[in-house]
Formats: sequence, C-alpha cells, structure tokens
Amino acid sequence: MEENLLPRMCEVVQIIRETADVKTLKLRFVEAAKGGPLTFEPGQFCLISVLGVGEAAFCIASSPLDTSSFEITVKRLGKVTAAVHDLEVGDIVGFRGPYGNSFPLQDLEGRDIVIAGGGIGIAPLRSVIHKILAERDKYGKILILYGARTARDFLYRSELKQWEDRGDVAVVTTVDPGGEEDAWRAKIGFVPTILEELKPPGDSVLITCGPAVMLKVIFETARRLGLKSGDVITTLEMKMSCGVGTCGRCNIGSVYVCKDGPVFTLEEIEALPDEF
Amino acid sequence: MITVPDLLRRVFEKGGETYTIFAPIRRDYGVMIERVAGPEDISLDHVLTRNTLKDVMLPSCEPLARYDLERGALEPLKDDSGTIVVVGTRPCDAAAQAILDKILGGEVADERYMDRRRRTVMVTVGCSRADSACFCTSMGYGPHDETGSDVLLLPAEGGYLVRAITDRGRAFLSEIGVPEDKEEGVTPPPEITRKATTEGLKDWLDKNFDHCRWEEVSENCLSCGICYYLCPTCHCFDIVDEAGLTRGERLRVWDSCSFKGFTKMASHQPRVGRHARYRQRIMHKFKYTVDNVGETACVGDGRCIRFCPVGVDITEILEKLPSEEEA
Amino acid sequence: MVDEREGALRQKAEDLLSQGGVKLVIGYGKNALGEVRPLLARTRAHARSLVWNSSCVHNLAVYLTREPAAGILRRGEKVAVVVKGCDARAVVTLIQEGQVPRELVHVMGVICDGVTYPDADGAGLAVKCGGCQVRVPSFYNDLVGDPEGVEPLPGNPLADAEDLLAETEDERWAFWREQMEKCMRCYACREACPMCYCKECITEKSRPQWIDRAPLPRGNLAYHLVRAAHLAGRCSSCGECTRVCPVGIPVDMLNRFLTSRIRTAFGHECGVDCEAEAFQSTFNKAEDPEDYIR
Repeated sequence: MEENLLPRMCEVVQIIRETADVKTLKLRFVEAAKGGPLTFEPGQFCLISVLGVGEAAFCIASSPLDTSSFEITVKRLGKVTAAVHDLEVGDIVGFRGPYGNSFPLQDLEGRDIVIAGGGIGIAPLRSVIHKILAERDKYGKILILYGARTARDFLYRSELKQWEDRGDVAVVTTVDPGGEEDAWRAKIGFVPTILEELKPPGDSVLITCGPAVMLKVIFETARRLGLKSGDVITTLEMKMSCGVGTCGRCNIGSVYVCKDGPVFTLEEIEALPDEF
Repeated sequence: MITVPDLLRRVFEKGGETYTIFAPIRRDYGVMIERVAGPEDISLDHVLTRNTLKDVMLPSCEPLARYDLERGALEPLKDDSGTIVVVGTRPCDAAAQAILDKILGGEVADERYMDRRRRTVMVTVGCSRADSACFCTSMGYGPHDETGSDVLLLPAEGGYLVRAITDRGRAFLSEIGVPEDKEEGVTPPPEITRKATTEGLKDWLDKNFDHCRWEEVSENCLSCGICYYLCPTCHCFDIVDEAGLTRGERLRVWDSCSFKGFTKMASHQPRVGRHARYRQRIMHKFKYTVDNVGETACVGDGRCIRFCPVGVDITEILEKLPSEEEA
Repeated sequence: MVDEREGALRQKAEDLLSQGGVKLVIGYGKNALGEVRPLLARTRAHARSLVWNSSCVHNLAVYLTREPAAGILRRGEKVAVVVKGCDARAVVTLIQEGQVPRELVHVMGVICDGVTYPDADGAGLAVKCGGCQVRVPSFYNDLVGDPEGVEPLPGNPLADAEDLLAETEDERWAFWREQMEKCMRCYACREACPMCYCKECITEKSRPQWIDRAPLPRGNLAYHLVRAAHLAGRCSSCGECTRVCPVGIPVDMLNRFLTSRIRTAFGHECGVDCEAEAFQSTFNKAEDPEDYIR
C-alpha cells in the first residue's frame, strides 16, 4: 500500500542564516537507499514536518542538478516555521514530495527570460536560475531582477555575486524605497517599478514570485510592457495539508494549487476567482 | 426474503470473529451507525442514521503514525480492520461512497480510504419511509437506488427482498448463505416531497463567483461545522501532530471550510467572511467536483437541513442562486 | 390560532424599520414547511413575516456581533433584536462587555411561555425552561405581551446537574468521559453562543497550541472545560449549546452548574444590569485576600 500521507525522514546537514528571520536548511534523506535521492523539477514543493509540531509546504529551493541533498529556505512566520528555525544540525524532520507541477523550462528554450523575485519569492526562483544557468546557451537573454525590503534582507548573497560575475546574465538588485543603507549602490524601488524601468522586450518571458501584493502589481506592469499573459509565469502559495489534492484545502476555484500548480501562468490565473 | 436482523445473524455466524461489522444502533440522541459486537441491538426504525459512513471509511480522527521525538523515528500505523461489512446503510449514503471513491480514488489516490473501500461489503437497506428533509430524487438518486451498494435489501411484505448488485455482493451472499431473491413484490418507495432544482445552477456558478447573492443566502449561517461533518460527501481533512514530551502521533482529522483556520496562513487569509466560506461549500459540491470528476458532491440525504441550528436550507439556496428575481 | 404577540411584534418591527431609524430587525421567521428559524428583516415585507410561537428557540443575540448587524452598529446605525428573557441576559452581557453599544440596540422583549424543541415529540418544554424566572424579560426597549399574572415556570433548572452530583466521582467521570468521546468538534456550541464572540478563539491559536485539535476525548475535554471557564459568570443559560449539539452532549449542564456556584460565591447574576461591571473583568483590590498583586 503506497502511503502518500506519511513522510520519509531527513537529517538537517547544514543551516545557513540568510537574514534575521530567514534560514536555508540543507536536508538529506536518512535512509539514502529507500526511494533513492530526490529528483525534482524547479517549481515543485515539499511538505516538511517537525515531529510533534506539524507540517508546512516549502518550495524546493536548491539546484535540481545536485542530488546529494536538497534545500529549503524558510521565513519565520508561524508555528511550523518557528519550529524549523529552532532545529539544529543533526535533527530529523519529515519530507513528503516532490509535489506539484514545475516551470515549463523546456518550452522556453531560445526565449529571453526575466526572472523577477521579491523577498522570500526568490526561493523558488533560485532552483529555476540554477537550472537555466547550467544550460545557459539554450536560452536567450537572461535578466535576474531581485528586490528585498531592505539591504539586510537579501538571501543567497554568495550566489548572487557569482551570478553577477558571470558576464552572461544581467543582475539587477533593488530595495524598497526607504530600505537603502549608506553603502547601497544599486537600485531603489519596488520590483514592478524597476521592471518597468528596465523595459524588457514585449516577447520576453517573465518568471516571477513574491508576496501576493507584489504579484498583483507586477501582472499589471507585465501587461503594460506588452508581455503575453501566457508568457508570465508565477508560483502561488496556499495553506496546504495533504499536498496531493484530496484534503480539499488549497483550491482556487476548481483548481488545486498542490496538484494543478503551484506554477501557473497569468493566463490561467485570470480565469480563476480572486481567492488567493 | 429475509429480515435485517436475520441477515445480520448470518453475517455474525460466518464472520463474527474475522469481519469488522457496522450496523445502526439506537443511542439516546439518535440512531448511529457503529461497530457492533453482536446482532442483537440493531435498530431500523429510522429514516437515516445521524452519522454517515464517513465514520467507517474516513474516520474523524485516524492515527497515521506514531513517533519518538528523541530518536526522530516515525512508525506508520496500519488499519487492520480486515473485511468491513456494513449492514443497514441507506441508498443515499451508499451513493455518497461512490462519489467519494471518485474524489479520493483519482490519479493520486488516498490509499488508506481506497484500501478500506476495497475491503468493504456494503449491504444497503432500501427506505420504507422518508422525512421532509430528504431530497435524494432531485439529485438523481432515490429510496431504492442501487448506486454504491454491493447488496440491496428492498422492503417487501414481511421483510426484505435480497438483491445482489455487484459481484462482490453476490460472493458475499453465498459466503453467508443468504440466497438472492429474484422475484418482484417490492413495496413502492416512499414519496420524496422536498425537491431541489439544479437547472441553470452550474452555469450560474461558473459565472457568478462575486455575486452579492452569496451574502444574502448565507446570512443565517453561523459557520459551525455541523453540515460539513454530517454530510456524507464532505471529505476535507487536516493532518495534525499531537505529542507529549517524548512521544507523539500524527493524525488525520476532519476539517471544514466553514472554519476561518481552514485557509488562514501566517502571511494572509484568502477567504474573508462567512459568505466566502459558505460559497466554497456550494461551489465545491456543485461546481468544482463536477469540473474535476464529473459528479455533483450531494446525494440529497438532507442531514444539512435536518441539523442546521439556524434553518439554512440548501434546497432553497440552490433555487435562489440562479433565479431571476431581484435581490 | 395565531398568538397576539406575533401581531404586536410584526407591527412594532414595521414601525421601527419605517420610522424608528432601525436598519435591521433580527427576529424569528418561518420556512416553507412552517419551521421556525432566524429572520434578518430589513424591509416592511420581511417584518410582516416575523413569527412568535413556542418554537422560537434561538438566541438571536448571537447575530449582534456578526455581519450584517455588526457592520450596521459600527456605522453608528441601529439594529433591533427580538429576545426572550434568557436571550435578553445575553444582550445585557454584550453591552456590559462593550461589544454592542446600548444606544444602538433596540431590544424587543417578548413574554415567553417556555419553548419546545421541534423533534421533542411532545416531550414538553425544553429542560432549560425549568424554573424560569425571566418569562418577562428584565431588559427591553419594547415589551411584547401582557405581564399581568405571569408566573415563573415550574421545575428545577439544576435537576440534571444535581442528579449527577449525587453520583460518585468515578461515575461522574465516566459520564463525562462518555460525552467527550462523542464530541466531534463541530463547534456548533461555540458558534450558537452569543458570548463566544472572540475574533480568534483559543482553539484557533497555534502558538502555542493551547487546545489539541483532534476530536479525541483529551482535547475535547480541554475544549469544553476551557469554554465553560471562559463563560463563567457570562452565560445567559439560553441552552442553545445543548440544543445544537448533533450528538446530544449536555453542554449547558457545565455552564448552569458554574452559574449556580458563582451566584452563591459572588452573589453575581448574569445579564441583569447594563451598567454593572462585567464579571470576569472585575478585580476589586480592596477585597483581595492575596498580597502578590500590588
């Protein structure tokens, strides 16, 4: 009997403090032989549980090419995320997944792609960036636009520097107005505002993720820039329990974010009720 | 021809030690379908049991695993109920299982539920009477409907005529030594007086997510969980961990979209207001399940009407929503 | 024969809606089968469908803290509510606790003969009506019915609690254990209660998870005991929590027991005086026998 409600156990092998309230945890399955290493596509998510506390959904934020371990990036907000933040290296957690659909990268070959992340929204985009950069010549121009609330809130700083230093990718960082500090040299402005300034060509693909309020604004910006709504792709967040479409919780209209998503195009979102 | 107590006796004779048997029992607050230890206490003088077959197939609290917090070790808990025999359910409740089978038995199935279903023999007792809340005929079912049943007992003069509906039912009857009755003579089914109309409903639901009528039709609703928990097709659940200092359990528990916490996240709440939650109930049953598995998730058993403390009536609402009249 | 109180209610409601500045009358109405249920009346046509009979069981005060009434009150406009004596106590407590402004609620108190539950099959008046002293509500703007010669109802409102208290502790524990096994956490008892108006119930809090969520006896007992404690001194004894329970748990027995103990220990009667201080939010330092609160 296949049991999709029970987890495989993982060990926390490394904890990286990204910012004051965000940590990245590197996890590895405890019994490596059972079920094999994790293979996933960028955009997919997992349900991580802290025993005795509960489960929550997190995007898988690491590179899909690295199968020895995988990473989740967690912002401390509620009961489960607080328990995740209290974990130490060596602690055991439960893993269910990978669930959901993924970013349709194979359909985007040859296209110019803008990857726009706001705040913690950069986490699901990180696995996309790793996959694209590993096969750089399959794609056209790549622009990574990453905005955080303040200069102290950027995640993945060392990778950000590596992406900046590559030369074959444009990287623009920005902070929200008021979020700059003395040494800040890059842009100041909300992500959608900076996107509009950068004027990507109308036939670009936009892959974006961020807080719900940012998404609503960036969709408008994308329309103004002449992007087709089928070319604007995002990943949505809803409260989840089963992760596989049976518990009835994460629906937006007839669509379940866990199994029909979490990756959706703007065209698909426009057909859904405003309940997310 | 047989009486239900006689049939139940045969079930116990054959499998009292090995089957897990459920039948209706009278409690002081109503008739409940429960696990029974013997054939004596069965009650059949009721229209419908207060609870549904969910208590058997998708229990309100099901332990999934036990764990040890010190070792971080998790041990799955299996359901070892063996062959489950349900005697005395009604056609609406049996039909509801057929709908849940489609919802929970899809591409990624709920294996616990489907495993129990595969081990279940459903012996349904057709209705001799109905009450004013029943509306099964409007939903495409009826007091003598066979959907979801393995064996159907139909009321006749002096007892029940035994009909095998599925191969599993046929095999079960031969196992317990009860012959099938081929003859006619079924007492006419009781009249179902309450009607619900679903004409024009799906179309209206497809186009009117934001209509002001949602607030009107739900204004009496208190947002408790009664209609969800007593509904035979409502299946929504949550997974919770409950632990002491060193050990704990992971449990699957019923949850209801009527509760605020159902969709509320630490970051935001996508569904604000009682009307939004009531809308989810109607949409899930009469649109989303239709869109996803081709079934309306309502069998017209009427429990939501019978037990709503404030008179919210789904048949009234189904008629009011798509109607032309002014708000 | 239609009760003359019904006619008086309808007329009064029509007047309030058309000239009294009231935007909403929360009263009792009937469905197509004649079954009584709450009716939120906004128009004169609605007002003419109000009913009054012995099936008017609901405590309508529960709608005062919910939309649409709550929104109307927030905008400084008036809401009227039809109450029996027990329900009136809930309105008073809501006013004491600052949930509902006195000047914006128009209370239509109806003299009550006791209520019967629809599926009671001739069992007589509801248990909660036994010994009722408030057939004439003690709080109202309008009184509907004739108070002349109205006597309290016979019966002992604590009969069931006293029977249980006569048993041994083990027997009582077994009784409540059986009740707690039945509970499925539908929270109908909470939602039907006018005093359970917390925007976020303690059962909804997850940090910490004060009350286990699963419908197991341990969490169920925690829920019911905590709720009874939160209602101590505030419960109007309307009995709705027991009426709405789908599995027959005598929820209000806990509340009635606490109510009688509080009457004895503190001389406090719930829901009598709008100006009185709310029971659980009153602390009298002068009478405090302990010295650790300075």
